[in-house]
Amino acid sequence: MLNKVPGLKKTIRARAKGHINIRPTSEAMLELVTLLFLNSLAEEAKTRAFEDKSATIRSNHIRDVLLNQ
Amino acid sequence: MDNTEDLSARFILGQILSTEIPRTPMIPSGSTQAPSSSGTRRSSRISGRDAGAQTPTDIVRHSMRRRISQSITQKSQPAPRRTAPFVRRKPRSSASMLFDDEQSPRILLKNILMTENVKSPLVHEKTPSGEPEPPLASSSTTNTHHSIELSDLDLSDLTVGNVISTAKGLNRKRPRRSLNVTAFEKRLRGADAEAEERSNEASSDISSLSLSSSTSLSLKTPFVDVGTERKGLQRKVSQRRKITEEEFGAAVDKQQITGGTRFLPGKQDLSDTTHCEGFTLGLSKLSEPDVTTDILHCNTALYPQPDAITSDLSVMATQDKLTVAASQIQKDLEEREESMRESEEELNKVQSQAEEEGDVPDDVSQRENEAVSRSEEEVIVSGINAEEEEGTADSEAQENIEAEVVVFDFQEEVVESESQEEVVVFESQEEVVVFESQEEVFESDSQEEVVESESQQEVVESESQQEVVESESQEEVVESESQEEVVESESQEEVVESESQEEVVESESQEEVVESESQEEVVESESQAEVVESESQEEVVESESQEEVVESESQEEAVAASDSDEDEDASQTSNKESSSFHPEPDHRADPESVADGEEHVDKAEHPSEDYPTDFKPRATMDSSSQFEEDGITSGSNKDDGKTERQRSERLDSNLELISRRSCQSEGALVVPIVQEEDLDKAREGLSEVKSKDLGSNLEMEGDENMVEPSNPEQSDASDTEDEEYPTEFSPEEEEDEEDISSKTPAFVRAKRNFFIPDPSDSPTVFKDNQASGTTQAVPAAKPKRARQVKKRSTARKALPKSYLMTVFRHFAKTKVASDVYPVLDEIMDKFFDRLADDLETYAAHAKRTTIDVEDVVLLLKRQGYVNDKVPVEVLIEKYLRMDQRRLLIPIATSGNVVIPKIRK
Repeated sequence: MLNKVPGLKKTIRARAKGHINIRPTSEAMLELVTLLFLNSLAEEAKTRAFEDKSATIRSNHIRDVLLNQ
Repeated sequence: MDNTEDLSARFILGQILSTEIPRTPMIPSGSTQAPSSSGTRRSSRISGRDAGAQTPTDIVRHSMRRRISQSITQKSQPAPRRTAPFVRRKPRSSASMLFDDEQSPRILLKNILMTENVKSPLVHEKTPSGEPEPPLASSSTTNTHHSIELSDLDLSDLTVGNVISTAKGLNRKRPRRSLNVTAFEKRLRGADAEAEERSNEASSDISSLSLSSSTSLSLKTPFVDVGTERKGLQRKVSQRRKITEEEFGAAVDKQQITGGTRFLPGKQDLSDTTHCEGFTLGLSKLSEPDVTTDILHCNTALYPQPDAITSDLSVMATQDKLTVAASQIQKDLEEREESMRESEEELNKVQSQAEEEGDVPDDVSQRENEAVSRSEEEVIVSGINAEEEEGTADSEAQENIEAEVVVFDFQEEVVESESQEEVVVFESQEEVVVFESQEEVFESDSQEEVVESESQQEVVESESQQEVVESESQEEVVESESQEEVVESESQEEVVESESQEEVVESESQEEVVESESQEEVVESESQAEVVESESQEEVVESESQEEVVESESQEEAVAASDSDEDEDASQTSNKESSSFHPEPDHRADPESVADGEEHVDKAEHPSEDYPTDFKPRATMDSSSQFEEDGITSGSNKDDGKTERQRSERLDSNLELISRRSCQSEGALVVPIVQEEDLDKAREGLSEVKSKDLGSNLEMEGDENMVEPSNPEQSDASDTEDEEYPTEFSPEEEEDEEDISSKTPAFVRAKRNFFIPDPSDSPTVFKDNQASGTTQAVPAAKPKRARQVKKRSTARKALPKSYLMTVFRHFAKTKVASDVYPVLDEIMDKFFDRLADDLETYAAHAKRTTIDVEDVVLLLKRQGYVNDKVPVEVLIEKYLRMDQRRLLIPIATSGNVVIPKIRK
C-alpha cells in the first residue's frame, strides 16, 4: 500500500482486448480495487487457515478460497 | 344513643349550627368559588340548593356546602375547605342517601364526616401542626369550631385523627371491611398521639379513614348500618373517587407545599390514601416493580436488546476460537519444527556424503576416466539418493541434493540430476554446490524438458569448482559429461563444459588461461548465484569461440592467455576486429548469426548493464559470426586432430552466434540450429549454449561478445579473438583456455541472470538443452529458444513478488508461508484478466476508450465493496496513499481553487 504497484497500468492495458487508455485517477482506483481484492482474499485465506488450526497461511488455503468461492 | 359513641358528630354539628349562622355572608360569595371543577360543580349544587333551602337545616346545610366549596377552592383558607368537604359530602351524601337532606342533623353530620374523611389532605393543611393530639373530647369541641373556620381543622383533626388512626390500622391491610366501633374508638383514643405520625402517611389512610368515619358514624347513629351498607354498596368508591378527583390534586398540592404537615394528617392521609388506594397500590403491584427495576438497571427499552448479549457471545466465541487455534497452531509448529530439524539433519548428512563421493570423481577428473567416474558417481549418486530420500522433508535442499545425486546424465533427464552431479563433483564446495544445485533444480523444475541437464551440470561444475578450488579444481574439473572430444588432458584440468572439454585447446594456453580464468571465475563466483544455465551456455559459447579461435590459431595459447589478461579492455576492440572478419562464406555466417542471435536474444531478454557496449559490437558480429563459421569450417578442415576442437569451436561459435542472433530474430535461431545439427555431436555444447544464451542475461551477452569476436577471429586474428574471449569473460572465464574460461564465466553469469527474471521459464529450457548433448539438442534448443522467447514475453507477472507478498502479508495479519506466491500469482493473473475485461466493457458501453473513475466505481459497486453504507470515498481514504487520494478527492485550497478540478 505504501508502495506503488509497479506496472499496474501496463498489465491492464496489456490484458485489455482492444485499445484502452487509463487516466491517472482511474489508475489510482485500479490500485484501490486490487488492494480491496487482496484484502478480502487474505481474510478468507486466514479464516481457512484457522479452520485448519494453523496460524500460517499456506498455498492450499488460498487455493481453497479460489475453488470454494 | 349516639351521644356516647359519636360525640364528635354531634358536637360538630352543634357547633356548626351555632357558628354557622353568623356566617351567612359567605353563602353567596363562597359558593361561586370554584377553581376546581369539582368545586364548581359542588358550588353550583350548593347554589342550587341554596336557592331552594329555606329551613334552618337547609340554611345550615347550604352554608356548610359553601364553606366546603370554598375550602376546596381556596387552599389558603383551610376553613372553607373544611367546610367544603362537608358541604360536598352533604349534597352527595344527601343525594345518595336515602334519607332526605332535611333530616336530622345526624344525617348531616354524618355526611359531613363522610366528606371530611375523604378530605383528609385538606384537613392536614388546615390543621396547624400545633394540634398533634386533639383529644376526642376536645376534638369534638374543636371540631365544632372547625366547622366554621378553624373548627374545620378541629373537626378534621378529629375525624382525621380518628380516621387516620383507624386508617393506619387499615393501611397495611388495605381492607375494605367495616370496622368495629370498639376498635375504632380505641384507635381514636390511641391514635391521636399518632395522628401526626400518620399524618404524612397517605397510603390507605383515606380508605381507612373513610371506613372508620363511616363506621364511627354508623356505630353511633342509626345510619351506621346504612353507612356500612352503603359502603359495601360502593358508595365509598364513588364518593371516594369524586373526592379523589378533587382532593387528589389538592392533596398533592398540599403535600407539595407543606411537606406533610401534621396538622391535617388525617385528611392528608385520607386524601392520599384515597388516591393511593386507587393508584399506588396498583402501581406498586403491577407496574412499579417492573419500572423500578428497569430504571434501576437503566434498561428502559421496550424490548430486550439482544445485541449486547449476542455481541458478547460472539466476542467470546471468537476469542475461544483464537485461543484454541493458537494452542493448536503452536503444537503444529512444534511438530513441524521437529520434522524440519530432522530433515535438515538428514540433508546435512546426505550432503556430506555427497561431498565425499564427489571426491572420488574429482580424483578421476581426467576425462579419460570420466566415464569411470561417471559410473562411480552414478553409483554414489544413487546411494546418496537413497540416503537423501530417507530424510525427505519440506526443504528444497533435499530435493536439490537428490537431484544432484541423481546419476549423471549426459542426456536429457531429470534436471535435478544436474544439481546432484554437481554436488557429487564439488567436494569442498558444499555450499556453492548446494546453492547452485538448488538453483538448477529450481530452474529445472520449472522447465519443461530436461535436455541440457548434462551440459548445465558441467557448466555448473566447472564454475563452482573454479571458484573454490581455483588452482586445483580447475585443473581437475570433472565434467560429468566429460566429453570424449577432450583433446588434451592438460586442458581438461580446467572446467570444461561438455562442449569445450573436448576441445581443450592446449596445455600451455590452458594453463595460462586457467590462471586468468581462475581469476575471473573468482570474480564471477558471486554472480553464479544466478542463472546457471545461461552461464553454462555462455561459457560453452565462449569456449567454443575460444576453441575455434585457438584452433584456428593452432595453438594460440599464449595469445589466449594474453587475451584473457586483456579481457575487458580488448573486448570491444575484439568485437570490432571480429566484425572485420567478414569475408566468410555464408555457411559460416549462419552459425555465427545464430550465435549472434543467441547472444542478442539473451541481451534483449535480459538487458543488463554489464555489457552495454556489447550491443554495438554485436551488431557487427553478424557478419563476423559468419566469418566465425567459416573459420570454424576452415578450422575443422585444418587438422584432423583438431576436428574435434574445431567442431567444438564451431559449436561454440554457433552457439554464440545463435545466442546473439536469437534476440534479433527467431529465424536466425532456426538457421543456426539447423546448421548446428549438421555439426557433430560437439554441437551439443552449442545447443546448450544456445539454449542457455536464450535465457541468459547480458552476462551471457557479454560473454557472447567475447565469444563472437573470438569466433570471427578464429579464422584470422586469433590473437585478438583470444583476447576478446578472455576480456569478455574476464570475470568468469580463464579456466580452460578459451573454452573453459569463456564458458564458465558466461555460464555463471547466465545462470545468475537466468534465475532472477524467469526462473520458471528459461531454466527448464536451458537445462533441457544442456542435457541433450546430442544433435537432438540442437534442434530442440531452437524450438525451445523460440518457446523461451515467447514464454518470456507472456510469462511476465502482473505484480512483482516482493510487492505482492508484502501486501498480502499486511492484509493477512498472520504468518504467511512463502509458498503461497505461485498461487497468488495465478490468482492475480486471473484477477487482472477479468478486471481489464470488465473495465473495458464498461468503458465501451459508455462509448469511451478510456477507463474512467466511474467505471471502476461501478465495478466496486457490483462487487459489493461500495454500497449505501460504504461510499467510495471511505474506501479511498482507507486504502490509498495521499498522492492518490489527492487525485481522486477534491481538496480545496486557498484562492478558491479546488484540486483536482471537478469535471462535470
